Amino acid sequence: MDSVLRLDRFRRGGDDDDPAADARLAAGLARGEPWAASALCARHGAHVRRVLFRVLGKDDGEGGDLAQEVFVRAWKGIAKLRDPSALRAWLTHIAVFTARSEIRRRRRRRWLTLFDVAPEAPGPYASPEIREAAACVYRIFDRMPADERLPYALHVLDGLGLEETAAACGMSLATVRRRLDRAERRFFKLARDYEGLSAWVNERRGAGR
Amino acid sequence: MSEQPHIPHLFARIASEQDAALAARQAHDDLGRALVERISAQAARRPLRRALAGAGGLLALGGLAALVILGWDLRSRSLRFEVGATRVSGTTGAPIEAEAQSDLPLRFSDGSTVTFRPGSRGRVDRLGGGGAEILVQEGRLEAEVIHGQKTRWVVRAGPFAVRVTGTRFTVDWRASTGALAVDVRQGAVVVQGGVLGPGVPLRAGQRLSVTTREGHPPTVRSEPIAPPTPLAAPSHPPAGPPAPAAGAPRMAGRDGVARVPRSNRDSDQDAGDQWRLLAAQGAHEEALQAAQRQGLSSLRRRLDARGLLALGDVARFARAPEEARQSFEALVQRFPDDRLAGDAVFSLGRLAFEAGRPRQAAQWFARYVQKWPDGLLAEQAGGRLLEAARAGGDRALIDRAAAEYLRRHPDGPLAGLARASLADEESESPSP
Repeated sequence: MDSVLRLDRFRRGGDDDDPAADARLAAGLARGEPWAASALCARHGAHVRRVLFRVLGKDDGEGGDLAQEVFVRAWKGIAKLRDPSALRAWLTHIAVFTARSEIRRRRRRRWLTLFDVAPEAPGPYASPEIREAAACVYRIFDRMPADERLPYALHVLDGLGLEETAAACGMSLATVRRRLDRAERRFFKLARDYEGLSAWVNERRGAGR
Repeated sequence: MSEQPHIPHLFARIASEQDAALAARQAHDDLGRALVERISAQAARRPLRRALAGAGGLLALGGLAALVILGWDLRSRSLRFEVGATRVSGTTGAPIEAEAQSDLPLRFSDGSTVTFRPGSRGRVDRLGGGGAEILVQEGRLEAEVIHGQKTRWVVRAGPFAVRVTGTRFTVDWRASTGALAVDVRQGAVVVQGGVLGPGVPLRAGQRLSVTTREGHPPTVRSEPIAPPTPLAAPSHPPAGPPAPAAGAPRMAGRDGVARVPRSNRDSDQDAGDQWRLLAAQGAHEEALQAAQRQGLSSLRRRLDARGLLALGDVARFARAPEEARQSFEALVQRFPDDRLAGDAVFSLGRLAFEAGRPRQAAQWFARYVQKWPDGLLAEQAGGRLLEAARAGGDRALIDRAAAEYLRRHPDGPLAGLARASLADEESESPSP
């Protein structure tokens, strides 16, 4: 556990294409080295928050409770990471897993509530037009099964490719293709219910990918 | 996917505005700080605190009532403290200075004790129901903080803050050089501030040191604390062989640079031992250069065990791992039964691990564990053997190392890792 930390490197963050740095960070986490926890957040905090925002539609807040959940799970389960250089992809996977739990928790809360629950705030969007449309999008997402919503949100909002989406969601490529196709059909069918999306939705020209 | 000329634009706008909202938030330091505190709390094994954190602050009604009652009770009774052997009632803000030859203890009403070591000075800045805020202006402070539900202690030293929730630890601060050393003997702390950013958690058995040298960026080092040895305290005259064992603590001296006590029993005492003098001042790179001028091969043939160990340490701190390796190997080959050979074996394991050779590292650590099972570094060697085995992916060795570690050190710092290595654990985390 003897390590000399080069703080300037780890505090830069955003080194997306540096698997070697991720491998060193993963090794530090595995050894329980004190600097690794802070470095993990500095390096991947923005990414994890973004993934959560994409799939849940709501900023995690100052405390970053859900992001903390992701990092605590990563810290506790670091021994399971077989490829240390794939740390970021693994964190994405954990973030998706955490988001799925959150979605289920929210649904249970809605079921258990005696009265109608006011819709959650649509998020800090600057543009009123986008704010309303985003609220509609995430209400549609809320009506989709989690296993369709999660890959769909990652694919269409975060721009993940099919393989990345499959890896993030723990699905095979064939499965993620099927889920995305179903999600897209469901999304456009439900979108007809929302006036706030009428300006954005044209009649579909047909399925196919 | 089918073409939808507008929806993709909407998705892109949503993503863009989400990114803008995230960028506007200066959250990652907060996230790091929160994570570090949460990890430290879990490392200190406080089930109640975990339950509180896991509930996101939302508690069952009974628990909430109990906590509120307790919190009010604590808030309504701020700590008090007494100073010194005469137990004079202490006041916040009053300067505290230990005499040159004696400790100055502070005893707090919750049972916690804080001791200013000889020559140290500081003050108690604030008292609350859950703890105190103490400033170390210079010197060394030892603390034993009683854990409670609302325990919140902070020890400040220069730009740094050591946040404590129930532990035994020491803080050594040298204001003139900005050098900090924090040893945790029990429990866990988080050290924040200055170059440490959101915080570095430390568990029992760990040390954090920050050293500075002019013209160089600050160096932060974390390492396990070796059990106290006569070699480990540079402020006291060495009772025995003065060169420290590999991995032994190196406390910051007055100039903020880690000191290696000067040898007084070496076979070479003439002015040609400039490398030793430079090493004692912490100038390891210069020390290595001086040794190279003398001839490293020649030195390795004629130095005794202690000298070889010191030479290896000089090379290691001067970031010359190959030179370090050769010096340590020379010690092991020439003095295989000397107790310092164990320190050299340990250092060879560490060098191999740092060089990305975990299997070789595992061999060295295994040798230490087998030959020096009761050595000062036995627990650390056992832990590093497990880490090296895991890094090398040798399943059989992982199992043996984990089982042996738990047999010898069931409560050691890596006991959790050892159990996890052995068990078919059900974890919350999905497998990649």
